[in-house]
Amino acid sequence: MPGTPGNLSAPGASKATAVTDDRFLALRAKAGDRESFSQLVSLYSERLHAMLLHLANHDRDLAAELTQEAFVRAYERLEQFSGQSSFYTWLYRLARNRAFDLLARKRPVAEPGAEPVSAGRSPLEALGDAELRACLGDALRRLPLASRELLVMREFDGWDYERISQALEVPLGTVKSRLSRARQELHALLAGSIQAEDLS
Amino acid sequence: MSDAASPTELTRLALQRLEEEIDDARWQELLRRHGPPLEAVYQEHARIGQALAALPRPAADPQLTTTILTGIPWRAAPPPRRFWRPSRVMASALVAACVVLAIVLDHELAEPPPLPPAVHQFVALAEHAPAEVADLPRTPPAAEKVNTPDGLSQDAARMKEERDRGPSAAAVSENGAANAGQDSSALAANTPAPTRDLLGSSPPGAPAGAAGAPPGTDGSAPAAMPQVATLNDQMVPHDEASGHAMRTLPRRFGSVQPDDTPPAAAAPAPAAPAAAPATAATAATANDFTVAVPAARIQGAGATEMLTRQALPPEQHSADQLRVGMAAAARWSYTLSLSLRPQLTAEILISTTDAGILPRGALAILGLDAQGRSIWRAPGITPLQDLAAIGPYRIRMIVRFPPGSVPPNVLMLQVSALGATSPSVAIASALPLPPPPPPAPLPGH
Repeated sequence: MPGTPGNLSAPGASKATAVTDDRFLALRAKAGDRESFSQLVSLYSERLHAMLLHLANHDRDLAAELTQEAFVRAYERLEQFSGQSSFYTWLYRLARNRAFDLLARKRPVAEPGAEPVSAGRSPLEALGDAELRACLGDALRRLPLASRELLVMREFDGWDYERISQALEVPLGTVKSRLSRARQELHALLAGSIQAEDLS
Repeated sequence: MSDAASPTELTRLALQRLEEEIDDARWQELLRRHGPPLEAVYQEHARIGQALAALPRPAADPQLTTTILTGIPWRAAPPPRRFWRPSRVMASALVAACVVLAIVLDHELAEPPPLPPAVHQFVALAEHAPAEVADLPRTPPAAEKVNTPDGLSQDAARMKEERDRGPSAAAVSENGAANAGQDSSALAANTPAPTRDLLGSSPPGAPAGAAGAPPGTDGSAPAAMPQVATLNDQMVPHDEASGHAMRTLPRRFGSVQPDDTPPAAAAPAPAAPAAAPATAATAATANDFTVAVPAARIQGAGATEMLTRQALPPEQHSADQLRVGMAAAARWSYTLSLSLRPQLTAEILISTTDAGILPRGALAILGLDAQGRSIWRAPGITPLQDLAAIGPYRIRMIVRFPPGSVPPNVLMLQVSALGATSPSVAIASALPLPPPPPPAPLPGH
């Protein structure tokens, strides 16, 4: 299999991969061990905050609020944690439900174009990585929330398809098809941004 | 050679490859068919993905974790769960399995196969003894429930036996008590009539210290005998510590009385037992007898045996009388030298001298053959006890073999598995019983 971008781990993911299984800590916290839950907070607070920051269009306060709320809800619902998925997957599911409630009211600034850019040499090829990242951040903010979430989960945070499927509670094939669509949307937004810059 | 494909189709294929829906073989085939345009579209999308992964992570608030932890509504930790909580059924099954295992091991390792159950009868009756230990010689009320095969109660059978023997047997017993002097009077007064009635196995006029009495029955311990303990030296402090008055052994046999006291000077025994526990402890001093406890029979550290023994001549088929106190947990056994021949029936009265819990299996009666091998084991003594209750106990055991059977040569009491909360164990009496009288003819025959 090619080294697809989806297989790349985000920098923050190394912390998670160092933990063989966070279920142990979660189950201990479920049994009343505060220290275990504190360890889970220390382990995942920044990672979850970074993901929620993308979902919240880089609203740091909102992301922090969503992060804290997610942990509080997780603690209050520890009895419901069955250990079938990792704790972080379960935590993210709690976080996104609340985030979507808040963010669904906000419409994206711009809808992506429906047509993909033409094959061959594209404007992206002319951009350096730094310029691409700058354009990418802007394009992400303009993506629909569901697409943005998928791309952040897959590319930014390095989730595999199965985990995304568990978190979003959708079939694996649906995850892949939605990801393809999100990539198209992002690509279109990027092309549009670059072309607009070129025009200006 | 490349097939012309629309940009939309190329994008679809590239994205499918990115989402791992196209395997390597098919991807190579697609690349051969569509050429560089497909590769270019794929690389472009791959580059976007790599750029996404390389997006700088915003520096989180250093106080974020602290803030989150502060906002957690910590609740009181529930009590720790037990790793394994057996149900009552499981616990019962476990106990039953242990009992079965103990029985199997006991039979496999310790004892030869017992005699068939049909050849013996064994009755063990236990009761609490709320009264002082001084009352122990009294026949337990439970004795009324023990019936001989002919339907007579034990007491009734004894009474009949006493009537058959006439007054001489009782006189000997009373003489023995009288020969003991003042102390013996106290003993006799403290010995209830039913118990003393059982002592009439000594023939009339038997001299004190007759054959069968151990050396040193004048009160001094034989120098050659090891493990000598006297009642005076050890039991009195023990009872003082426990707060119970010392019971004196029933004086049954003339052989244990001082020689200088004529049997004719017997003091009449009181008609009814008079409890004198306060004086009994000191009254026992004059006529205590030392006895050698075979060292080989003392097992376990910390055991202190305090016993007196009155031996009858073997030809009289009488029993030893023992008193045993155990100060610490130990395994201890003692041969009663109680012959079952020809009576085939014996009564053993065991008492605990102070409060405590008598564990199951702490007491056992074994039957030994002529070679000292255990050939019979009395089924269960202490299982009759209510373990939840705390003694003192009185345990009356009737060992009875049917006529014509071959009983063990001697019986042995084995005391073991006593714990820190166990009471001291005393053998109040052990004596053969007369054979049951023949069944009375039915009225009208």
